[in-house]
Amino acid sequence: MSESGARPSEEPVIPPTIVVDAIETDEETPPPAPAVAAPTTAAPTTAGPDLERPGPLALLAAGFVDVFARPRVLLLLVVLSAFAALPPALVVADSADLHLAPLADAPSGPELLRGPIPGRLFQAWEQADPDVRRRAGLTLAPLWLAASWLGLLVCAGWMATARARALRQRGGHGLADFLAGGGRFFFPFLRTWLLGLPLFALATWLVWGRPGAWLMRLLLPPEGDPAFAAGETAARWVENGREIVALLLVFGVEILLDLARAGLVAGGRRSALLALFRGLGVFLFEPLRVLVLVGAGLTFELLLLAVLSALTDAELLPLWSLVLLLPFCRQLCRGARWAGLLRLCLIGRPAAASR
Amino acid sequence: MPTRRWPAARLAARVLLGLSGLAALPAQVPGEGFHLPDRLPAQSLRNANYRIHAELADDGATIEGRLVADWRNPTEEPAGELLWHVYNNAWAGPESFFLRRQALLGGSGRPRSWGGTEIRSVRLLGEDGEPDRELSLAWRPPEEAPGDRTVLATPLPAPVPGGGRVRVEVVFRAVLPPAFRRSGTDGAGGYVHAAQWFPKLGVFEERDGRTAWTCPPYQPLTEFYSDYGVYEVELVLPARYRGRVAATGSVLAEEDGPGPDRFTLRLRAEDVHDFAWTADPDFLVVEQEFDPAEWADPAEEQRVAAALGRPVEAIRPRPTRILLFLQPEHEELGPRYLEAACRALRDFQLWFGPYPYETLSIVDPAHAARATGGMEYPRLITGGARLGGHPRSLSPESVTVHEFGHQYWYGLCGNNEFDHAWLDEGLNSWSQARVLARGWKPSLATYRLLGRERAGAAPVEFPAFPAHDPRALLLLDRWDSPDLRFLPPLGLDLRHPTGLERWLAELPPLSFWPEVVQDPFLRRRRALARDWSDPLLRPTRELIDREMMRTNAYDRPVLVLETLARLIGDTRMTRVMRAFAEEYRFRHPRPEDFFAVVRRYGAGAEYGGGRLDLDGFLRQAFVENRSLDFGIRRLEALPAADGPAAEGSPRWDVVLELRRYGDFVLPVEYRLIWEDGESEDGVWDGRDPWLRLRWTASARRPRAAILDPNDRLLLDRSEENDTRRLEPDRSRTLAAGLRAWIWAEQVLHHAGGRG
Repeated sequence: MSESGARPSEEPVIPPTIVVDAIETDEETPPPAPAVAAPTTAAPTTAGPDLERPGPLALLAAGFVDVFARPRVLLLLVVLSAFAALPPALVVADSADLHLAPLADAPSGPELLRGPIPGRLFQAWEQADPDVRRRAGLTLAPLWLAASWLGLLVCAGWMATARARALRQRGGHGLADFLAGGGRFFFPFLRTWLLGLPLFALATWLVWGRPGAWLMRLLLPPEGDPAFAAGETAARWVENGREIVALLLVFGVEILLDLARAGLVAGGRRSALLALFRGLGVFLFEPLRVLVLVGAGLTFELLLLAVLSALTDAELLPLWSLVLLLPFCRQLCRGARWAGLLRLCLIGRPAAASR
Repeated sequence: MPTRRWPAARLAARVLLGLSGLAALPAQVPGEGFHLPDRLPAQSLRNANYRIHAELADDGATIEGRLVADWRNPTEEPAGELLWHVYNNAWAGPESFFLRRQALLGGSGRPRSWGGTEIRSVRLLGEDGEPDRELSLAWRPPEEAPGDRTVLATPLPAPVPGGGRVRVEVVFRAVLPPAFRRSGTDGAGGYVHAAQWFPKLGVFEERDGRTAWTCPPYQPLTEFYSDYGVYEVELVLPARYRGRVAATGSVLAEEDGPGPDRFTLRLRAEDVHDFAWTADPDFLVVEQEFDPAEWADPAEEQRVAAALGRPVEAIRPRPTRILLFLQPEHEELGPRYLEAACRALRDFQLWFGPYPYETLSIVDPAHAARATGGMEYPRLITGGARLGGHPRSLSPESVTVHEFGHQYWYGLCGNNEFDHAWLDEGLNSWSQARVLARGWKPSLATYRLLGRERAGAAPVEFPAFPAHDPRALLLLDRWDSPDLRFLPPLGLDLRHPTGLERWLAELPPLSFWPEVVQDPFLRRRRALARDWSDPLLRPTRELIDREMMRTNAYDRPVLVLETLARLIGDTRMTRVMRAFAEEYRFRHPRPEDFFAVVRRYGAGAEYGGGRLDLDGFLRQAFVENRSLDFGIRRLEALPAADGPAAEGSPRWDVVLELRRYGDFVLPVEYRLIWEDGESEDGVWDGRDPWLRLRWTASARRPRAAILDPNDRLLLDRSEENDTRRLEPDRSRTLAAGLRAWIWAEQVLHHAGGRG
């Protein structure tokens, strides 16, 4: 573990606590130290870490700063989001051009976007081109997988960028470095992605497979306890609860995978399997911090979306502006969450962080 | 492969022959002197009367019953046997015709446990009312389902002559299944909906030149058919149901016993052709009087009175007592049920004559027995609504109006639903649309989130692949192993799409079309997208599938009737429907009866610059399965070749080509709108396959052309080709593309965070 040229101005923001990582076998060979300045860590201290560790909201805020500090990256992602979504839009627009644009007695564009739309219009359109909505949807199928993988690259990029900023490394802040960071961790992330698939399958099976069906049979008619769920209210709660549990499980797996990835970047490691266990460890040891960080990030994102929705409803924003504003807000919030998680994982890992 | 001749071919031929004489009919022009003769009968023939004593066991599903049927032969021919519907046996086992036919039509599902009706004895009663002799029983299954037990024949020792009477006692035991297709219980000893619970006589009538019983086996494409009579019913029920029983009849008395924890309800219903009852210890009973003064609509009263040539006082609705049997958790829906019932009572009485019964019972089915919802029985209807409905989805309003409408079309005009479901469902759906259009804002397209309906429609269909499609892996939905032959196929669901997850992926408040309005008539045009394999007159029970049944029984008649109404005008249509409703009250109308009334009161309307060929319309719409599709093939403005092209004032040769794509021939109106806003109307007789119209050296260019500008031809298959702009409105292209773009961005962003 090298201690090279620590300068007061380059003190890491992470607290100077050393946690001995017992499993170091998955660490990659440390990359060569940057020519200008090497990453540094402070000397170990015995100071109580809890007193100095930033809270989850501070980590999230730092994440936002990390993302805001990379406007070119953000711009790239916004443009990419907009372009990736074009195929279905073009299919729909093409069909509308053929079947909606020539109609004489239909509402014009602005009325279509804002006002009540006569259902007969869509009915006529659907009759003339019955397949358009399905066709447009199907163009998303390959894009869905590509987006999922691209998400890995972006996640790795934000985490690598946040790591560099957290460690106050020089260089490594540009668009190319974002992509390089993303590229460096893409394959380890892809391995976590692959490991995530059985976890998603497990979550799905638990809720929608035999265990879930068994529970539903216990609770709901016809086989279930009629005294419990004879009414619609109880049945709705059970059904809604099932959906919510399913979503929470999926969120749980996502958080676990994100923590694993943050651990990979924070520690400069390569083993996806061990990273998953480490992520689980972090989650189990600090569930509140993780949940508050992620939850606050999501809440903030939803708030932003609600504001955008209200502004467009009030016609203070043109609808077309959402094409750019929505990806901007969402990429910003997602990037901040990832950066915040990375910082969370960096805490107490100066040794790994130094690499 | 054996082929079957369409049994209704003769009927179709008769209808055709009947229609061919239409031209000779004198036209009746609406005017001051018109007066619709009052043909409202005071009561029905009452030739099938029942006295029933029934006891419901504590299990809330088993009924021990004894009935005495007093039947009078309404024909002139003798009846050598009696035929009974025992439709509760459709749930007696998998061998029933209903379940076999359902499987044949691609449907599935069966009751959670079997029910059925056991006939213990059938005895002929003497003049003194005492049993005279035991009758033999013979089930009459169709060839397709030899195990079916839904039609029972009881040969009589001596035929009942025309006009003669016979009294028969039937002892039976019925077990109602857990709710399945219109009848049953909640399976927990609570809610019980007793429909088709007792053996009921079929209809002995003249049909296709011979007199016979019409009593087909119960099957999934159709419903019921029976004779009118008086029902005196004595129900013995467990005490938990006291005060919570909805029934076809009026309550005459309610007494304790026999035995502890039981009570007896005496009910009577006159001039009905069925008797159903529903009980639930949890019912919240709300009673309200329909007060015609409170719901008066003077303008509509004046219009109807003028159309019928009757004084307003003669057509005003009568008061009716509404009994609403609600599930407690649906208490908030009570006012909406009642408003719908009141609006329906007002409009139906105004349009189709008085509602002759003192009560209307509306049942809100228990959650565990929702399959019994949305059904009609005389004086009793079942609604059905879910919690969390959007106010503009018109639930429970729509179903309440529809089921109430069946009091007229099925109840008072008791057509044969096996053969001509369009006569009840179609007329009723049309009437329902009229009531909805007058009473409520049009419904909105909705989606559900955590059991709550929200307004909005997705611009793009969320991608999905069927099971075992390897492409599902692209969406991270499911992984299926390739077929290795030596290994059983493996499959893993990676994701289960839920409303909540979809909401997070799509963000409907930002990406959906927010308000898509569904007109109650025009939404029926969805049927035009289907393949119309069968003409409207083909017997319902012989239609190719359920889809065709839905088309021919519900959507298509609405389009035909509304097109007819818009062609002949509201005044004539009001007379047609009123005359049909009054003339065939308490009778069994057939299609030719309806056509005769249409011919009598609808003829003479002016349309398309001449008198409407009503005969041709009815023939093409009902008998011949023709497709109506007019379209604008071309609208162009070409620079005039030899016009006086003065400086700054170019001239145009305008070409408008109209095309008849279908084989339904009817005049069609068109409108050319010039760029300065002026318009020019015309009529094309529609006989030739196309028509080219030219305006040479016009100083103006057209902006658009519209076919059928007054929206009369709802039957037109493609609305999209009915209008054409000279210059397309690209702002719509952008609007549609923008919605889809925003939607796709959100979905892909969601995908970017998955895995």
